[in-house]
Amino acid sequence: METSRRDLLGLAVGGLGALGVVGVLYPLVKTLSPSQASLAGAKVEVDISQISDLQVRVVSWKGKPVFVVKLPEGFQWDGKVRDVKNVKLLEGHNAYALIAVCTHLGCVPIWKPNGEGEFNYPIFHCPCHGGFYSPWGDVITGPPPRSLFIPPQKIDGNKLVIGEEGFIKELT
Amino acid sequence: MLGRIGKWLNDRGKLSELWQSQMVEYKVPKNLTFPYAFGVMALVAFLIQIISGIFLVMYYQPNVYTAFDSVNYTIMKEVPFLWLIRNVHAAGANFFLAVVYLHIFTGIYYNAYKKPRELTWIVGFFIYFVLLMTALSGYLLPWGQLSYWGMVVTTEIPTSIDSAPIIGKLKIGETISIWMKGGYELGQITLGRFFGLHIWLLPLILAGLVGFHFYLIRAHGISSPDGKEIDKKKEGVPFHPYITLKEGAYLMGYLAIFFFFVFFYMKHFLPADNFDPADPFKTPAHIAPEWYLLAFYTMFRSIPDKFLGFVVFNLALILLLILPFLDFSPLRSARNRPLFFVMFIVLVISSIALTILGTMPPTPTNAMLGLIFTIGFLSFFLSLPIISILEWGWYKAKGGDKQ
Repeated sequence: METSRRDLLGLAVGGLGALGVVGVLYPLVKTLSPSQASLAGAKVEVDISQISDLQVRVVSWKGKPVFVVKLPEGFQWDGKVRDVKNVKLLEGHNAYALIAVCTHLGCVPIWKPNGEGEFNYPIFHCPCHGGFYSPWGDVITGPPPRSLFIPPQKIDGNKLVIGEEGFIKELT
Repeated sequence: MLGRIGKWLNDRGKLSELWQSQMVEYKVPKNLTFPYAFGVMALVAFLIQIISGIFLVMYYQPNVYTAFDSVNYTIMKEVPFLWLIRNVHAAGANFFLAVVYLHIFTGIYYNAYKKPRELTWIVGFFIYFVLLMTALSGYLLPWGQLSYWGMVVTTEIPTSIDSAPIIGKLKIGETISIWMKGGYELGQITLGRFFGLHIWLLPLILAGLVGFHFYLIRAHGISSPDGKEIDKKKEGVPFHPYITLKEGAYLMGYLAIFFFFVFFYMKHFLPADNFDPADPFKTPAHIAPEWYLLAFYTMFRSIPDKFLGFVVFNLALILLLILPFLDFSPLRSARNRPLFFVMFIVLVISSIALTILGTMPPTPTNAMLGLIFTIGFLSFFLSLPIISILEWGWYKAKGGDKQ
């Protein structure tokens, strides 16, 4: 078939039309992408040298409250836990982060470095239904079904970086 | 006077010609059974949702701080009769999906997806899919506990892709999840966009698809329960008044049942847990999706592997979409196909069982039962090509396809 200038015109109009459609769709779809503000807090850096021993700082990571725990060197703990999941993952680290949401019904536990009641050693105590956790977030007693979740984190000098793969690879 | 206005309109709009050609001269098989009425019931359910939705949107506030109160105080208590409209909308969504499911099973039973009606089936599948999206987005709007946590779980579903071998490393799933929510958290941005989708985009797409679906049904005529295509010139009865009156009567029966639930039995359509405002720090103990998603939910959770579960429940949807191409038998209607009838019963029982299992806690026994019925569900679709080949054999043996 012979190509004519009219065919070229057809192609040009079709091509420009397709370009126009893409030009309209791109910004429309892009409005759905997350904004800068809503992505803030995906990576949180905490200077652990600023936290004194046996203290806990609460920060926010991906909209969730997170405990940053600082334990003294050679810390000994006398309590008994139901399950040793977290302490195994966090062995050898004296600064680490835990998701601060009780696994029972989602309250935020309270850090009690001097213990509470019969527990005369550092614990987390959830005031809602009496869940007790070890400093590593393992359940001592009470209704919580499992240990506190641990976010991905790594140590970078004096900084604990929450939200990046390190000694904890993913949310567990 | 009125008569003259009517005549004036009729002369300009050619309305009686339209009525005559589309309703009176339109012939349908005379042996249409009761299940053929589910289509018109679904259409009425759609209209009920649109009308009640228009009134609800006048008072609903798509804002995380005020959404719950605008629903449970303003709509339910403050504005006269708006409680009724909310009940109609909430029960209507459930009835709409129930009728659509019955409509789908009717279509499968009578093989209404076969040539030349494949496109009608495919458009119908997309209606079903968009309808699920509409129902899902609408359920978020009251911003109750089940609304919130149901959507948390739903927007986590794409992350299953990240458990896949090889492509999991790309973290596509997490990206999709973040795009659905508009950030890491389910919050104001999420509520705003699901509100927009629910009241505008999805119903408009639905209306377009439903229009196309109706056009296709008219273009090919209604299938008949015994699987024989009618000769429209000789057989068949006029659509009006035979079918309009018959289906009109069925419709009144449907509406009577519907309004019984709206007035006297709403507790399943407005569950108690959703009268607690959304709390991002407190997951309710028993959380499962709405009943119309339970079959897929049971498939998803019964399979021990997250990615495989995701694959299987999407496969279930895709098999439904390509059903017309899986079944290439020359025979139509389950009335003439004993093997097909058996597998159809397997499909119905599996679907009901998967739905019921979805309401139960995820114990190992329930997971095993879920797995068995998932296999039952899939086996219907996978057996269709085998049954088709067998039936081609019978058909040829009887001398079919040789004229």
